[in-house]
Amino acid sequence: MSSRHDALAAGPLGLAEIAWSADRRAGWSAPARPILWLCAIVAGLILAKLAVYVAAAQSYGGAELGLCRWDCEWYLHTMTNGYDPVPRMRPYHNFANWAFFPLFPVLGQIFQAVSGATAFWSGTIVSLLCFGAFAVLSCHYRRLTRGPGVQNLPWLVLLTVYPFSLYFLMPYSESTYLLTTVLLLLAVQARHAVGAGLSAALLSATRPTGVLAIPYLVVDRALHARRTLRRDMTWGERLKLLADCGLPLALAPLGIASYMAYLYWLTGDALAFSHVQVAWDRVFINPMKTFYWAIAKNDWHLMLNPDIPAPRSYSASFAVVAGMASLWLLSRRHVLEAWLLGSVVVLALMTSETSVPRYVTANPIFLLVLGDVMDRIRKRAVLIGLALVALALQAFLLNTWFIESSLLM
Amino acid sequence: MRGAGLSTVLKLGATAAIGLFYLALVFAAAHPRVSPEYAAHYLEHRADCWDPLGERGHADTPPPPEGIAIGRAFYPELCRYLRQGWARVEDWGVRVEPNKASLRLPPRPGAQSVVLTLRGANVPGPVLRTQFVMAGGGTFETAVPPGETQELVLPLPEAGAEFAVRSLNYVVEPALPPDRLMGRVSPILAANRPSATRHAGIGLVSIRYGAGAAPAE
Repeated sequence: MSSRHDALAAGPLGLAEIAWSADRRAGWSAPARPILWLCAIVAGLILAKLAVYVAAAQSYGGAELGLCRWDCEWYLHTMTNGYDPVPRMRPYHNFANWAFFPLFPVLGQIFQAVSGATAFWSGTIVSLLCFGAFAVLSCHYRRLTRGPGVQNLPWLVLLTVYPFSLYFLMPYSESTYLLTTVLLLLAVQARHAVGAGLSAALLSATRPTGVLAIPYLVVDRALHARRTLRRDMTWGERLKLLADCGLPLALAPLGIASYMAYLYWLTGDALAFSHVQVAWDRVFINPMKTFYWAIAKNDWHLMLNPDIPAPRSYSASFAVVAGMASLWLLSRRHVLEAWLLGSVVVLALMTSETSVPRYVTANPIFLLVLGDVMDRIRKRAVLIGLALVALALQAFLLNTWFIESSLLM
Repeated sequence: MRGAGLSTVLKLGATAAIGLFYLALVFAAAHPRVSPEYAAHYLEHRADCWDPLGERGHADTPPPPEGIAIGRAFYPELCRYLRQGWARVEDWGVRVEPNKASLRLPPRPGAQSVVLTLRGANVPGPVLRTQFVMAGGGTFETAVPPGETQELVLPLPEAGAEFAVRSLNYVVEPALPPDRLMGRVSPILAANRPSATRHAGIGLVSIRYGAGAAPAE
């Protein structure tokens, strides 16, 4: 397809092929048109998916009623009313939205103020924008870390058909977490320490687990200082090294620290986001105990019953998957990725195994691992077959979402 | 060279400023400015619930009513009395969980005693023996046969009283359905409850404030 006429005559699939092959040839240093094609494909896939979801939700009261489940209601409440000055809600009137970190609700509020859209649609559009940005940036990141042989179009199709990708279209913090994580990964890959610090700040303002990036940055800066420090350095050079190491580390916790300062002003308790977990019966325990008790429960037979909580064994088994994925990433020397995936699951197990499936399946690192597995499948027929299976599973999970099964909580 | 020096100074200045902010924040986190009610529930876990009436302090807190029918009351009002170790309220009242529980009796003008209506086990089983130990002294014991109710009169000091409720025995009976949060079954709360049965102690049906003094223990 060498001419513009041929390209236009090829239709949408042909244009996608052009974008794919152009991107493979050109890479990111080429003119912006391949990136624009990429953005167009991403936008098309996301909008098509959203249209399907909205259509499916009509049987459950429409988009706002049907698609807003579980934590979505907390986020919409936060976007509409801000953070609770006092606890509320049955059964014990001790629940508050302090556990829901501010970056996503604030972005939603800003969009709502600018656009006048409802809280649900503001949150949904912010999620879509963040997911789209993640999709585009992750193509670049995969090229940098997995080599120029990676293919963008299959990766984007994976993101679209991925069964648990419904989280990325809901007013949840998942998409914001995807975007801030990939920004951190890109900054670290580019050895841009201040960028990494700022990305870590955004990450820590998205979720409590965002602070797990900080230990990695501390080690990274310490190693940098150790490599750079010399006996014959002048005081000016030593101060510069101190500044280059200190500022990124100072920036990294700024997200969570700002939120803590706000909570102290609002409630008098800077750690209210952690203390309020008692309302959900969550207290800190040994993660190995949580894992063992959940696996030992052996309640798999309860899997498809929507009237009771998700089986504990089902939830805890995702920790095994995450552990294996982390080890695989370590073997490929993707140390930061392995750390971000493994440490998140360990932190989640410190309170409860209930949300471990979501923390794993909606984790950008886990998506990257799936992409690596996909890259090793050469036969297009196998890829198409897997995509169809994934679509069927996504349809099943969408139904469980509508009926509020706790499999997706 | 000067540009590099200025950049370094700015970076160090920003780092120092942010560092001071963090130090202030650590101090604030270690010294929360919260009410005793907030601290009891969220920080020290001495109460299973949060009492918003207690947030106002004694001067502004309305006195409790003369009689409280537990089965017809709701949280947060019930948090004034049922501090820790109480099961979910049912339509007749509430059972104490056999681990150590606590019952608070706020002061009421003119009241010198409180009458508790207690209920035995719902299922055939032993006589439920329970001790009510008043903070600051005084132990009051009761034994209620299954299917029966009894009254227990407790003294009420002018400032109110808090009692540790010690179940000397308990029964095993069917568990309650899972809690509902936001109109749905809450998976986390349900996952933390026994699945089929529960251990249940004495039941509390009502609290009634009286003007007369309580008999000796």
